[in-house]
Amino acid sequence: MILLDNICKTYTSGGTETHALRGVSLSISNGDYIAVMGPSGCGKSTLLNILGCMDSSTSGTYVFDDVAVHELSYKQLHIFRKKHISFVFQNFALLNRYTVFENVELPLIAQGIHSTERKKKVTNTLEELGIAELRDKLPIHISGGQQQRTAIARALVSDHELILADEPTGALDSNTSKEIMDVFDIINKHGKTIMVVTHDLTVAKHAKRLLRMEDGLFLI
Amino acid sequence: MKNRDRFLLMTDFMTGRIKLLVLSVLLTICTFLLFDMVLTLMKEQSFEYDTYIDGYKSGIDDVYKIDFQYMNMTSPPRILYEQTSYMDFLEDIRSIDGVNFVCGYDYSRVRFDELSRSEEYEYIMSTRRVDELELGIMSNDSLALIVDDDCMNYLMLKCSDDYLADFLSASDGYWPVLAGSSFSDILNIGDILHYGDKSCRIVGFLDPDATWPNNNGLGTYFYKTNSLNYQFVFRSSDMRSVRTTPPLNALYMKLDKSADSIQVERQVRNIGNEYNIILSMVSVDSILADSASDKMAAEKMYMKLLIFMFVLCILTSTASAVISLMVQRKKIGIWYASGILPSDVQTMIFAEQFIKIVLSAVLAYGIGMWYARECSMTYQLMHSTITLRWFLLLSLISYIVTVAVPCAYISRQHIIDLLQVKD
Repeated sequence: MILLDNICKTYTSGGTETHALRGVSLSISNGDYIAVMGPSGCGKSTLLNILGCMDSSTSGTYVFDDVAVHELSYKQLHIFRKKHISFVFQNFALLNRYTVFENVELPLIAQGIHSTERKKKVTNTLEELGIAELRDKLPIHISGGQQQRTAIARALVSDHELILADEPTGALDSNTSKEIMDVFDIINKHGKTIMVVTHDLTVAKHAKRLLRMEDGLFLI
Repeated sequence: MKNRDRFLLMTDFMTGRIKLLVLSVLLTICTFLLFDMVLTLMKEQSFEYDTYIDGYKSGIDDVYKIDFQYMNMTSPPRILYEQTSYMDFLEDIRSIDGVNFVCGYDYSRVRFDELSRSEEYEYIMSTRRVDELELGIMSNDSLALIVDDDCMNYLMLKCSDDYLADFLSASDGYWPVLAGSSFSDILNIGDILHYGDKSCRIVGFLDPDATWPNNNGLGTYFYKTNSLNYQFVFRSSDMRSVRTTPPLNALYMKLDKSADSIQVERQVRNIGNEYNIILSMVSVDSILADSASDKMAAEKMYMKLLIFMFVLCILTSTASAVISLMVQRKKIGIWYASGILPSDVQTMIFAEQFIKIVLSAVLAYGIGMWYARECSMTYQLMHSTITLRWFLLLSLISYIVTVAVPCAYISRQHIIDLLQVKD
């Protein structure tokens, strides 16, 4: 269970303050599937970053399974993220020198899981996502859709409760986008909590809940 | 994270920009090597001054005799510094008539005249014996100071009769002559030459590849005798003919403290007048003070250079470490997003910089040792004991800085910014 209460985020640059979030409150249940839509600069990515512990709020409370995330230090945020949260990025964020297998394996390495178990988990995940035959290929040698599936596999393999996706179909064509969102649907059916930030209503319609943002606030 | 995985990630971290890493190591080696070379020169210079000053203070008999052993050889071997370094020659000179006499440049070297055909080159005998001496005669004239038999007697000095006898008997009263190799076509051993008012006998030829050591200034030079077309003509009494040669144009004739300084000064002035050179009296104290002052000035200069090199070494290695890190920001961002912790990355920086600094230091020090052995006579003796401490200090400080700066840099990088870096 995730609770955000009155989350504010203000950036200061050259003496000018920008209010990215102006008191956002949100409750996310386990197994929830949320899409956040809104124009550019409305604060949806900032919200995602705060939820993903990649950024901290200026004020407000953020509680994740009884942990007061807003009180965590920079180092603690890293450790918390490592244990609970996975990401899928618009540009896939794959390491081009790593094979598909190695990219997916990375979170398990970070968790200190033994190589035998890692191999098993990665293989299973790749098979689930239908990219097992690509395991030894480099990201630059596979299609955009396959790269995003690899990124999703990387997010799934560590079995985290929360998966955050920032414009996961932003770099894909409509057919591939649908395939990817189908994958998210399946993942959600397996009980994972997903939050997707998107511009695309077609994508957002896959979610159970659709939230719209504008000027750092949710529209009711 | 398991150690094996950490090692694999670190390998990836290091090889991720292998060209940059190699370049960085090479740069670090170069700067370390420059540091070592400056250190070499500094220590060697300092050693030279210390040797002189110690010699002035305590007195040392240490004669480097490089010529006379060849006089009776029909086929002189290649002249090597080591072969001729420890002949005790000046014992005789300073034991005559109760007047101890040593002459030499900077109180430590004696330059004996050679009769050269056109150019006036010289060779060196080094001697250090100043403990009983208070006064000296110094010439800053660039002309040769010729001290002939009369002068020697006048100053209550004289040369080794034994040597004179040896040479004269070996050459039937003629001056033994070692001719340059280029003369071997037109002269034969045993030929008599008339050289000015002197009669000489050829006793040998220098080897075409013979070199002539000249311990001049900081380093030891080796003249190629064939290229210089040397002709050496010696007689024992010629050892009294001492001259200075520019730019090392000082000559010291050091006298026993029992000598009457007023009388000697008058005699020195007479010699100067007779030979049209400028001579002046100097005391050991003043020379000691001059040497100490020269030493301090040289050390100051070298110290500035050394500090500059020190800073350059640290800047180079640190800058290369930061640049290496900067080009991997995207990867580090993805690592963070995948759960790799900043402390893991910092451990990689620690390990990488350790390897880099140790590798650079060992290679630079090794090259420095090789350089010392090949090019420097004195430095090789002290390289391992003195410079090692400096090198360890440099390596340690470089390591600390090259770890601290990249770690500080990466700790300031926000994961969102890292992920937004373009490949």
